[in-house]
Amino acid sequence: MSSLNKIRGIIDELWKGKSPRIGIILLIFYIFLSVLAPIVYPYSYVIKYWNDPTHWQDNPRLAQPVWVNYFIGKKLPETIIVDSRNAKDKRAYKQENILGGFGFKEINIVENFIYDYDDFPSEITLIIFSNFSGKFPFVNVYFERPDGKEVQLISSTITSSRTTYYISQDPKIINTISNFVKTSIHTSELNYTEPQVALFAEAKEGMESYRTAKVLKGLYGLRINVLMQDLNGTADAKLLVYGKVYGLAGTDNFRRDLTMGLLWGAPVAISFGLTASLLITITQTFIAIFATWKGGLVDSIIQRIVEIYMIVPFLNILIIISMFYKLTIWSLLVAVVLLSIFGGGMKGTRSLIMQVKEEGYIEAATSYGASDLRIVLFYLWPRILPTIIPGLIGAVPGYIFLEAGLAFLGLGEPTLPTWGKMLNDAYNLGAVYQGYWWWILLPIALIFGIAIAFATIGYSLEKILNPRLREE
Amino acid sequence: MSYLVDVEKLRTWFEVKRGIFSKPYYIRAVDEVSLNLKRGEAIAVVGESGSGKTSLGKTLVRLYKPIGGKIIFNGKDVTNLEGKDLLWYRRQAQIIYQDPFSSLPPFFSIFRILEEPLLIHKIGNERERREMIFEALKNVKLTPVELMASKYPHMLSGGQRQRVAIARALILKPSFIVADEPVSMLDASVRIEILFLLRELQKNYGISFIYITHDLATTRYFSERIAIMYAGKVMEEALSDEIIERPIHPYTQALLRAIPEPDPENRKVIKEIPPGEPPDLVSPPSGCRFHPRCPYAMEICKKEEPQLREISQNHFVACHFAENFLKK
Ligand SMILES: Nc1ncnc2c1ncn2[C@@H]1O[C@H](COP(=O)(O)OP(=O)(O)OP(=O)(O)O)[C@@H](O)[C@H]1O
Ligand code: SF4
Ligand SMILES: [Mg+2]
Repeated sequence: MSSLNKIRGIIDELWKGKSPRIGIILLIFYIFLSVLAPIVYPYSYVIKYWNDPTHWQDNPRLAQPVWVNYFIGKKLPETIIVDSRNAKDKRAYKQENILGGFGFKEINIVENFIYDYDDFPSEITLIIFSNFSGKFPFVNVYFERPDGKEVQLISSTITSSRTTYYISQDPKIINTISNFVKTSIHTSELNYTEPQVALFAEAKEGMESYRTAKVLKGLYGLRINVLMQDLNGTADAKLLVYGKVYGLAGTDNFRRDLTMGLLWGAPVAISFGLTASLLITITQTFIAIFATWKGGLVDSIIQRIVEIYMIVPFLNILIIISMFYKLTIWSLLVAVVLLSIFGGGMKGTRSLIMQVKEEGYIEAATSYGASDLRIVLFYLWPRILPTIIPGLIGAVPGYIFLEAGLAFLGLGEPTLPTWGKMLNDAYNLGAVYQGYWWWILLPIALIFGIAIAFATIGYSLEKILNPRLREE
Repeated sequence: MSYLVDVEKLRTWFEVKRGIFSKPYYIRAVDEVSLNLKRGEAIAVVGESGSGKTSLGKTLVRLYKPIGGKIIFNGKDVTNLEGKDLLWYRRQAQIIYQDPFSSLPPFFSIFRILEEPLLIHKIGNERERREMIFEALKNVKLTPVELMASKYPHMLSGGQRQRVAIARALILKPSFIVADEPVSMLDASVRIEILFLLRELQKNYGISFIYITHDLATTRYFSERIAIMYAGKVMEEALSDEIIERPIHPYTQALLRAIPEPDPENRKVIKEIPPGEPPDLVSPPSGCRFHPRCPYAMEICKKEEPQLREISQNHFVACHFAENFLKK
């Protein structure tokens, strides 16, 4: 019988119980996430871009997860991006004319897209990329709707190689759209217009407001006409019609793909919780072995240190430390381990070792010549291990909550995404009041899920490895 | 005459501390015990619970360090050996424990249990060790050896475990073994078997043997000599048959009376010895330690401690009135 078989036996026994089975399934799920995370988003990528707002420009802000569509029975818009620089994108086409007689070059770009969602876009942005020398090019942009109506959104000069028009925010453009609404529904009285609504609404009364407008589905187009003096100049356009759903986990206020944060939270939480618990348990056990082995003064000194540690407000110290030093998750790990080495867990380990030390086979080993080191490594460990493992596993959620708690207080890891930090962001930006439920509930669910996984497995292991509990 | 084990005035006291500031006191578990053992000889140490038998045995294999006296092993003083020298002695002297349920590590296979001493003393290569282990299992009649070697202690009965413990003690080919009540925790049905096995192995390998027991009745079959211990001291020592047939010390007589006597006539003849508490080993009775329970105690017994003296040939007794009891 090898130790591998023994482990298999323990897993079989775990599988028999109902709650540990849930624990195992959950744990497998989290391990799967942890393996997936670096494959989908390599570490260096995460480190580089998670906190870089420019990286997330193409994503909608505060979009819900895609799967909400199934629950609300409506098709919320996804983001539509049409980019003329992308040759493969058949929805965009470009045509250039040299107007020889005038010494001008004309570039016409048409970007078509089908809009058949049940809700309006969240934002519309157009970016014009242009290389030119000499005078500034002139640009006209026309918005064509399925009902044949057309709006001239922009008519201006381009002054840089990259010009961004925030169609849903720019006051001038909004004014244009407002006029379009007025002529469409024959009114002169209009208090306000929601540009991204009005552009995509049926041309009826109330088309200016989200509450009253109805989505006009069909083929939309954007005509962009650029005139420039530089005959070698270029122009391209990228249209972004931001949606209201994104990915598996939605986005946050910074347009970040929350899937990435949630996914990376798993390996971070597991490695933090497990490493902390492992290091603390093992160092505590070694110190306890050392203390009981040496006995006498050494033992009583260590006992007193443990008692002092037990009354020291560990969490407060940790908070103070992280307020003064910006702790990364790894330095936090070191701090937690150092602050817990002499923690209360030692008392239990010590009394266990005292008990095991008296078992006959330990003395027998001395009698045939085993050294202290051999006894500790080959005789004490295998006996103690099964009794400390359940506690070790069971303590993991505590450390995961600790990290999440500190991160929630804004004292956590600065670069890597963690669930606690996501919650901290959500809280700071008022996600609770604004109803950005996915931003709060998903990290919370993941934290609780992993806590349940470790707690149930730890508890059930305790029952299997320490059968005295089983009788109760 | 040269002995393999020669013990002189051995004292094993346990220090007990009540607190950091109060003075420690001592439990005098073994107090000036002298004993010797020829090569291949078995001596039984008999005494009631708490008389210091185990302490003596463990001191002899140097699990405890005596605070006084000497243990001479094969002409060499092993009383205070340390480090490498002590490791050498640990190969020569072995102990078999009373409780085979706790003396075997539960997480090792029988093979590994028997391999440990060989590994520690760096004996043989893998193949040789394998042969030695199978040989040892065959010696203690645990067959088929390969199957037995692959088992774990919890799969074995008490008797089988004790056989493993015996095999473990023998595998280093020691010349001296202490067996501390090796069968007292086993089923009555297997006790005699195990005792005969021990005796057979002891004779075959010419091992000097200290056999600690409560059971005076069967002792004579397994040992050449018997030493009677009381309160950390040897009270009487002689050839087995001699002690059983002509016990001199009142304590030995009391012990023998505890053996069911086949002849009911005899039972009435022996004088009543009041039972009583075993003595306090922290502050033992003055003079003869047996005096509070001895029906023959006189004034002198409270004042003077009787020395172990040769009363008749090879029959040693520690009692002021030994000669009187001899005449009876
Ligand atoms: N390691 C120890 N530390 C302190 N006291 C001990 C220790 N070992 C034994 N003693 C004490 O020494 C005395 C003699 O004990 P010992 O075990 O030697 O007796 P024993 O004759 O073997 O008894 P038993 O027949 O019950 O096994 C007892 O009072 C016991 O409490
Ligand atoms: S010395 Fe005295 S007390 Fe001790 S056994 Fe002999 S008679 Fe009894
Ligand atoms: Mg004993």
